[in-house]
Amino acid sequence: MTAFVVRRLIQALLVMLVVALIAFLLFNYVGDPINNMVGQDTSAEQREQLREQLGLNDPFYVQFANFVGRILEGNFGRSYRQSRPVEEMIADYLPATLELAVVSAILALAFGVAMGVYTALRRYSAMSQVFMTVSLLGVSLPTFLIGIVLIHFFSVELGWLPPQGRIGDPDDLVDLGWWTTGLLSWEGWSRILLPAITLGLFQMTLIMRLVRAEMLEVLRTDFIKFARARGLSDRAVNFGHALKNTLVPVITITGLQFGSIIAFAIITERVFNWPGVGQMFLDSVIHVDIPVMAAYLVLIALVFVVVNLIVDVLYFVVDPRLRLDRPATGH
Amino acid sequence: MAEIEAAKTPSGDELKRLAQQRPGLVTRVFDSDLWHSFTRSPITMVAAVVFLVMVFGAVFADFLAPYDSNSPMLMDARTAPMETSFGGNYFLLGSDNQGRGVLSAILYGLQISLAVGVCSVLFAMVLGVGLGLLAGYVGGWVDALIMRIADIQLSFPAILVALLVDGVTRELLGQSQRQADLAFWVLTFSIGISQWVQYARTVRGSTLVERNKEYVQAARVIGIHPLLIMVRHVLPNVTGPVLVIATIGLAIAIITEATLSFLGVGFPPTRPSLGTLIQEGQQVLGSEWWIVTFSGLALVLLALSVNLLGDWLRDALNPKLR
Repeated sequence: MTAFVVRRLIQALLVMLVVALIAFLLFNYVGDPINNMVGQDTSAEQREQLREQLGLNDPFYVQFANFVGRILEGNFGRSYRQSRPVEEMIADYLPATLELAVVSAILALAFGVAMGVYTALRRYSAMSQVFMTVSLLGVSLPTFLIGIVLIHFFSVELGWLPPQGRIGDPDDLVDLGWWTTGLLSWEGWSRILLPAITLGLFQMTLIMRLVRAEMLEVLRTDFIKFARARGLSDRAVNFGHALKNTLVPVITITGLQFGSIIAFAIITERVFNWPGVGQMFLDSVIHVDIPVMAAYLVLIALVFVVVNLIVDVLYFVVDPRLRLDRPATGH
Repeated sequence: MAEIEAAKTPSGDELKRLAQQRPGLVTRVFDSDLWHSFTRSPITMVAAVVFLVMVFGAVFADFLAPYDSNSPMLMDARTAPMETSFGGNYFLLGSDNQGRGVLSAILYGLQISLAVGVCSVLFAMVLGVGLGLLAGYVGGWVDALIMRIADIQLSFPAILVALLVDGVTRELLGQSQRQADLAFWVLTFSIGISQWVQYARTVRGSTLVERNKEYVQAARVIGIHPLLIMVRHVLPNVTGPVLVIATIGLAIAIITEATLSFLGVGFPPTRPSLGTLIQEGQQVLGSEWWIVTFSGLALVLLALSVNLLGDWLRDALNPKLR
């Protein structure tokens, strides 16, 4: 297992290096970084001096090494537009996005697994047909349209939930020092509900279809028949044996989808005016704020790599067959 | 008994006649497996009809659109569906706050959405199939390089890649007036780039299988150029899966274009695609519900019909499911 984890770690480092290289290329070669830092009235001499000072005349590999060094220190440079350190902006915006992503992932997982098990056990019931049809529709519905429709019905027409934003008034946002949360008040929960549903709907349909397919597969196997023959109760067979054996692919997909959730949060955050890193990134794309774009890229890559690592390790926890130290035989 | 014998062994003349009777193209299409599975699935037929109607409306938008979107009349503004405006014009699907007819705007929007969708799918297909063939046929470090790039890109969602490429391309082209004209190509490029990986992976896999078959080895032995072998002999064997990916890819490309335009990094408001229309309509959803409703409906119907066609194609081309 150690060898496996070490190999994965090296792969992850490689991916991070490539992403850092892309971010570096963006930083240095898309637009002139000097032009973006100084005003119109800076003389050519001063520009050259700044160029030398920032090390932009150094050889490529030295610049890249310095860039990676700065990233490791958590220094992503200054935003061209907001002229403040990018890492500060990320620290401001990240909690909102992570809260949204986690809540919607939990919603997707809970409802997705439940609906998947139901449609697998009661394949021909009317409710199952409804779930399957809705899931097909969910794949074709663009996220932003779902958001607009939800806002219109639950906020404008029914007036049950507030339409936009993370907080009603600043007091709702509790500062925990390194983390600000809106989830300590009812107001905060009522505001996160609609965006979380919007964001999680697609993942929910995905998980539901996956659980259903895996359950149907497992229910056909001999050990389930044997479990029934032993006289175990339906509940023990369905949940103790069948569901447990569908969990490995579910964990993989949910883990891999967590990155997608953060990426799709860009759209959801725009529709619901949610102050997260997605909106920050979108603004940076619209105004071509390269340092913010580069930092977001590195951040997302980091999330992906870490989640993938966790998923790989979880395999061993869930599936004891993998714990034997033998060469991977394409299981 | 004698009659049966005679029927089983046709004479020489009979054989010639049969050979000349090779069915025409139309007959072959209507007699194919694909057509039979098509006629057995009513939902696919409905999807095909919806898709064709929308393509027809988009292609002939210039003739079909009741009003010219470029010269709206303020007298026509904010007309509800199926009502006549102050200006005396009838609007089947209503008009927006500048007096543009929603039906006309949707037809032109469909045109743009479909054009970007088809062009970016073609771009992704050519790029992905080309790189996949290359990786699978040549192997070695070329294969390793291409597939590692594919792996890394695949770990990022397509929408993120498209957004990033879109931002960078716009900066490289400069913030100029030409940007509005270039929007089409910027979008096609960014969406195409975000989709090539699926093609490359599939084609590489199939190429690896085909490469070692005897007919390819025979072609290599008689000295046919590797490029020709790839295009003439290997490529035809991977068209099925590529077609399926392209169909599903079209639905994703259409949704991605709408999303980018909705987010404000796609088409400028002067050339409304479905995404810009929805974005514009969202701001007046409370009073003028018809803009979002009808343009959203058009987008969903388009994406859903393409998705259904893709699902059918995948099942129909899969020999295991026959």
